[in-house]
Amino acid sequence: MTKRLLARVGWGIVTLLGTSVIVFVIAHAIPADPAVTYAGPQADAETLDNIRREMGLDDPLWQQYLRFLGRAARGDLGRSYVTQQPVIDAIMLRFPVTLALSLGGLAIWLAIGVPLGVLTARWRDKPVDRIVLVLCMIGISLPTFWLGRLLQFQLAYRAGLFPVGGFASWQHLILPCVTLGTVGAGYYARLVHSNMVEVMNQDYIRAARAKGLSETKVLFKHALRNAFIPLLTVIGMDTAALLGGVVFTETIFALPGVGSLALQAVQKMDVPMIMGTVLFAATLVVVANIVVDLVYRMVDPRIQRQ
Amino acid sequence: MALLDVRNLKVSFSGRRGAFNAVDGVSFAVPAGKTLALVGESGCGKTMTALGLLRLTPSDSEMRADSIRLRDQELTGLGEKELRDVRGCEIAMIFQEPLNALNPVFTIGEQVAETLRAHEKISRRAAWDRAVEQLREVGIPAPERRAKQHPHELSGGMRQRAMIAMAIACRPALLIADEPTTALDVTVQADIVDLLLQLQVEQEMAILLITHDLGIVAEMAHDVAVMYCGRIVEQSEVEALFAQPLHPYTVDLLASVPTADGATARLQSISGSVPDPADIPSGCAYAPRCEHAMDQCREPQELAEIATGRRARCWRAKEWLP
Repeated sequence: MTKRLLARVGWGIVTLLGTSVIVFVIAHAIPADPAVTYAGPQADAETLDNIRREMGLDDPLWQQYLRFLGRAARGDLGRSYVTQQPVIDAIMLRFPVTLALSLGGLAIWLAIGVPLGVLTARWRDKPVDRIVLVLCMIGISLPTFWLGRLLQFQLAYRAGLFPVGGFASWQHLILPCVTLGTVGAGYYARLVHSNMVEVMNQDYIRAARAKGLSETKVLFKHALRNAFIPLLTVIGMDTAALLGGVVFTETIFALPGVGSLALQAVQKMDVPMIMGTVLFAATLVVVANIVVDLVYRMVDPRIQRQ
Repeated sequence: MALLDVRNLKVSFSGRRGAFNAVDGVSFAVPAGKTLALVGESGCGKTMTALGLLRLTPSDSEMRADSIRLRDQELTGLGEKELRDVRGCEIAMIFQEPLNALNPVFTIGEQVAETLRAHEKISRRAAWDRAVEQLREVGIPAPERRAKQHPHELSGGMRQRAMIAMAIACRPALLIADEPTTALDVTVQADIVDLLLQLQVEQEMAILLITHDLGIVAEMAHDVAVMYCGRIVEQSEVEALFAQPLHPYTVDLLASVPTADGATARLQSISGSVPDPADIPSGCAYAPRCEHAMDQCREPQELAEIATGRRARCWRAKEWLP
């Protein structure tokens, strides 16, 4: 078990190294001069030369990469070319907002998706199932930027029920969470539905009914517990993806999260910040993979022995 | 009086290829403490008959019956909630493949205790203790430890014992055993048969045995009903049936059992194949495969009393009487 975990962590580090190489190469392949970003458009040639020398931008790319890696190993991802703020600090300052938004969105996905999935599996091919299916498809198809803008305009701007944007209190998170939640809930409802339909055909469901259990117990205890296992992978990966930055939603509602930070970094060619945010997201995915692996062991007794 | 009396049970499916009756007017009775075997090939409707009794047939099917009486309680008119009190408590069921019929994510003990808690007002702790006792009763060694294990950690025979423990925890008057030994090794099969026989005597439990294994029938059953294409074609006390079957299908079914002394003989098989359930011949469904068929066999016939305690659905049944 410990051996397996160590192996997973080892592979995780390999994944991160690979990611860092790719991002580093892409960031430097773009025809934009980091020195200009750093010094501003008005800087003269001499200043730019000095900056390049100081920052080691004239060195071969592999040297620059190794230097970056050496610092990263010590927890230093460099400073932003634009704000001079340490990259780690910038990410950590904004991470709580992304975290709150992600957990809110995820909670809505599960709170709506799981019951709908269970009920539509119970009344499969009945009118309820069909109606929910259509609603789910609408939810899945709604683009985040469209729904976000719509809610923002109608509920925040016109009706004045919520703050339009920015972040100062928990109320500022309501509309972003609803936007995020609506788009994912339908997807989760369909996932739970198809897993449930498969589980409901199993003999142990018939056996549970033959024992005289109530339909609620059969559905939510015997069936859902089994239908939920394959869902864990999806939840783990989605959580990682969200925590890495909810780009659209954060940008629309002007939330100071990791996603909007990454977007700004790309727009301004702020190379250390791009590297930092991408590696941060990649780390989350690697960690989520390991966590899902561990949770599986706890939830599915059949895995433990292997 | 019979413990269970079923009259004219039908289970019909309305599939894409048209509606058909998987079970077409089946009537039988199971006396208290005795075993009735429902025998027939796969797809003859025996499992659907059993599921119909508990109203557990698949959701795309429809179950109807003139009457299903358990002692003096009529089950056909019961609501879902009242029927739940019957399921697992008065009538319990065990299934062919215990690995599939036990929920993989719960321990054996939890699953046995759950049956108890569904029907009796007892604490979690008390239910667990009784579950352990129940596992001991069905011959599971070290039940305290086994109760905490999951189904995949047990051998096939142990799993079937656990399944039986789960079914009989509330001392049902009738146990439906759907191919209880088919998925097991031959040596384990004998153990399970012995266990069922022992429990039957101890608890005066009636058994509705569903099987295609005539060896098990000979060991366990008091009465036999042979099913073909959703109908009972012959019904009899077990020894009389083995001595002289009265329906050609039963004759052929018995002849197809390989015998130890006939090692050099070819295996007997029944010519032709089972008709499509949506396209069952009028009259006797077995007529197209029957070597004794005559014109009259195209007319519908009743499951008629041929001799005392012996009924067959065949125009020529009297001819085979000894």
